Amino acid sequence: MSVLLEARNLEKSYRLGRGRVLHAVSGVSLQVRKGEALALVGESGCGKSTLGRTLIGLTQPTSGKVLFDGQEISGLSDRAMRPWRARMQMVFQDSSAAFNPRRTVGESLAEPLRIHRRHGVRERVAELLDQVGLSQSVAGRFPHEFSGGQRQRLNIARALALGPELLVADEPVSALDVSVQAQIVNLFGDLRASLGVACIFISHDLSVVRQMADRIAVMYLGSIVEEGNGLNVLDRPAHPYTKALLDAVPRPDRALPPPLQGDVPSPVNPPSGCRFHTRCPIAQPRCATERPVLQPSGEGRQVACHYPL
Amino acid sequence: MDAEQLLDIQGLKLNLPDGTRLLEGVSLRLNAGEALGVVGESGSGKSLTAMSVMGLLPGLKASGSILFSGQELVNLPDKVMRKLRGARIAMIFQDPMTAFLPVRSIGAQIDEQIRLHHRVSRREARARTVQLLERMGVPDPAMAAKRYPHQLSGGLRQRAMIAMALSCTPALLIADEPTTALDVTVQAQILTLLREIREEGAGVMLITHDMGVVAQACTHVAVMYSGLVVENGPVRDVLDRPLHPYTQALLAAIPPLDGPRPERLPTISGQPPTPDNRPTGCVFAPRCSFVRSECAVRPPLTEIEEGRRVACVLYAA
Amino acid sequence: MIRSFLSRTGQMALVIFGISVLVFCIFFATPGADPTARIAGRGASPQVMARIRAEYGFDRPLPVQYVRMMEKLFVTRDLTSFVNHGQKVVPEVVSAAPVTLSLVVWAAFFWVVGSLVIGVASAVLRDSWVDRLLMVLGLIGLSMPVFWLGEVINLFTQSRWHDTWLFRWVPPLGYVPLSQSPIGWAKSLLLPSLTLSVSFMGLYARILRSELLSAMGEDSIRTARAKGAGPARVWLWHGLRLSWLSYVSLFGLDFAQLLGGGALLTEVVFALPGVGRLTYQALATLDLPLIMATVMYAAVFVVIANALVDGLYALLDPRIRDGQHGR
Repeated sequence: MSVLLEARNLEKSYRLGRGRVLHAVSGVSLQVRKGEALALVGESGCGKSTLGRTLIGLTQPTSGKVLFDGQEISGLSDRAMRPWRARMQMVFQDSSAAFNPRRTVGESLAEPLRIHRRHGVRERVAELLDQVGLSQSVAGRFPHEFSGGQRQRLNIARALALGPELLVADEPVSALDVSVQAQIVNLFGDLRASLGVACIFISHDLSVVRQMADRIAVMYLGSIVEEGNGLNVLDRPAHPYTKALLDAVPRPDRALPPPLQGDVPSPVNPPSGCRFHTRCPIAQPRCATERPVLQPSGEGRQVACHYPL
Repeated sequence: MDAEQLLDIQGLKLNLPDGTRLLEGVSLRLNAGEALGVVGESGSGKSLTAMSVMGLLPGLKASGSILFSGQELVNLPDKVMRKLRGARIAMIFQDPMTAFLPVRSIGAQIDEQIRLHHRVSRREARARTVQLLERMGVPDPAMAAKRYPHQLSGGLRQRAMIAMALSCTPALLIADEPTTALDVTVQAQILTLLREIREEGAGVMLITHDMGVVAQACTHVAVMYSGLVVENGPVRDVLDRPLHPYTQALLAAIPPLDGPRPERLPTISGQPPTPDNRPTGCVFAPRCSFVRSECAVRPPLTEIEEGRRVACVLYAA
Repeated sequence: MIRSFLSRTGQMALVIFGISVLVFCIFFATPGADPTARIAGRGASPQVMARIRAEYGFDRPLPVQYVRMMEKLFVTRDLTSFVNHGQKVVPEVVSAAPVTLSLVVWAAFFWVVGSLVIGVASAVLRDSWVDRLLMVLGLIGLSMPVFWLGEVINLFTQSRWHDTWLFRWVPPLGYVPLSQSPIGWAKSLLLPSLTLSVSFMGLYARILRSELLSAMGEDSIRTARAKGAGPARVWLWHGLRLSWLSYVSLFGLDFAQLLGGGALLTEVVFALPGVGRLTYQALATLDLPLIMATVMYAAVFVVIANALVDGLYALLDPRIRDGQHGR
């Protein structure tokens, strides 16, 4: 399958004043093929949301390139970006904020279609509602009349309106209850199967990610530490951080192993060498000085560790 | 049971002033040295149950019975309740950032609770605070006590919150989603801490929506749905062999972290009912795949085997 | 630290410069405000007009005039009035300042105490008849013009009921310096400061009530209850601590504004020779040097108060101290 989106050595940093710089994303390279689902996972502050926004041009990278369908889209002006916007869309976590509370959901869904001067708006809105599993009759209702799960369906419908080739979903199910979460997880599966749309899921929940993604990229302090086929990475993690993340998930069927100590260090002054060495259970002296790079380690997997498991 | 019965809630109902019923008659039991996980989705009434035990819902009308160490808490005058709160029953909250007063140091806020219930000097209170923080695994506790909430990391804030709750050695600790706002690696640390507290003899009531959290930190579990406890029992039994169709569906809806990946996740169709249009019969009947005609009458929570109770017609004798 | 102090001082200087230029320009752009004609008097000969123009420097370009006026105001401090020949304006402002200061300190005391009591009481008893009554009273206080209230009070305490037991103590209008008689000073300021404080009391009570009530919904207040704190402690210790930020900042600005002459109407009605009344006189006679002096004086106060409020904010809220807001 051909490459849809490619990031080359992407950096994003923010100046905080007083000479302090926050390195949100540092040196990330990745590819998303057409129709593929990639998940970016990690704890808060690992840069996964910033990376997601940078990939679809909502945030400009400090350096590095983003290519969509072979053409560079990073550094484009808002105006030059406009034709690309229709081809990639974002789904946000807070489903209640995405719709104007004073307009019916039908009007809100029609808006992007009108902006991009599409024809057959009415039919398209009906089709969208059908795709996300809502009845066409809800088009006349207002956002507050919907439950959280239904609002997330509407949110997905809005993102699908212009027929994008790529969806970036930031924590699409984390605000939902378990039973509703399962419905939305299934919905994404159905949409990928029927529309062939590629997805980037940003999530902290490993079990959700395992269900939704073909490939997983694990991030720690702005960099990818492990990347590969989802089931492989989660069933046989090669990076000690991936293993620690997996171990920390409380499961009904086994006792919790001793957890990692401490908190994630601040991205303003990250540790030297391997950024994980301060918390790594198997760290060696070399890890504190030499930063490991992402290297292939079989099964189409890449790991950034001097001593992979 | 030979353990001391710490908390016994019987048929707790809670009404809004306009008559809307939020809790439909919750029944729970908790012994000292046990940890009871109260699980349910948003709107199931799990937090309301906890707040009722704390007596922190002044605007709502409660009826039924909450026995705490043999003392009736429903309609207890606030003056008496205040002496229990913080001293015998303590609570920790979901977001330690907002739960602490942002404008005072962590230590001052823990000192305050100690001095509210014990006649000790400022210096003695602070010594105890530092000791507590140390026990909770806060590095450099004397320094941390001088910090403001926003200057600590999420994990340390929650440890400080737990230190504050434990400052007067309560018999019952209520934790309302204590790890939801935390990262998984930090959550694992906090869950380990909660387990230690329980092993030291306190009763813990843990409110959560996460079955994994219950499995790790609790000895017993009560599953709530729509203002009612639908199933109650030892945690291993309930997780391994759920009886109520809702518990079964809830467990099945969690995506697995190992083994084969299912093509689709089993789901529960529809939405939980809102408090003003709950069915008169079994509250889960409209979404249940085993629904039958007897479900039009609400089934009571009945003990079907030693320590296991379930509210479902499928298990009626 | 030093850098932020310097940049702050620079900002303050810039604001004061801007205000002075604005006042100066507006004055010379106002028709009929030509100072030459005013100083020379009615029907003066062209020769006299020319002489005065040269003497006062009105024939020079405006920027030069501006610089000279600022120099006389701030450096040599011998700026003289255009209206009362030879009267120096800086000493006038300086002698008026203690009067205003006394009035405003009294008023601030009344309105802070009053609004705290009313605000907390109506928040605690929210939606009861006491709350509604207090809020209606506050609204009345807020909407009563201070000059009208002052005149009404004068009418009753100075003439109509002056001889009754209730108001026999009220001294005649005017000001008694503290150094002359502390009792007389207090008596002469009691009614004016109460009058001045009424509208502020109403406004501050309403603000405090709404801030307190929104603070009561915070998680940290729930924590305080869960700790076993009683209602008095929850409201006064925790609640006020969360809600007094906006109260304090508002107070700082209002206080400075009044010190700078904002109590003009009260001072005029009660014949108190303060900065406000001086401003009033200067405006009535279109006396540029006096206007400039009083406006500069007010601007300095407001700018300094602004800086103080920001400093106080950082003191009250450690999050601002650390340069991060909220999370």
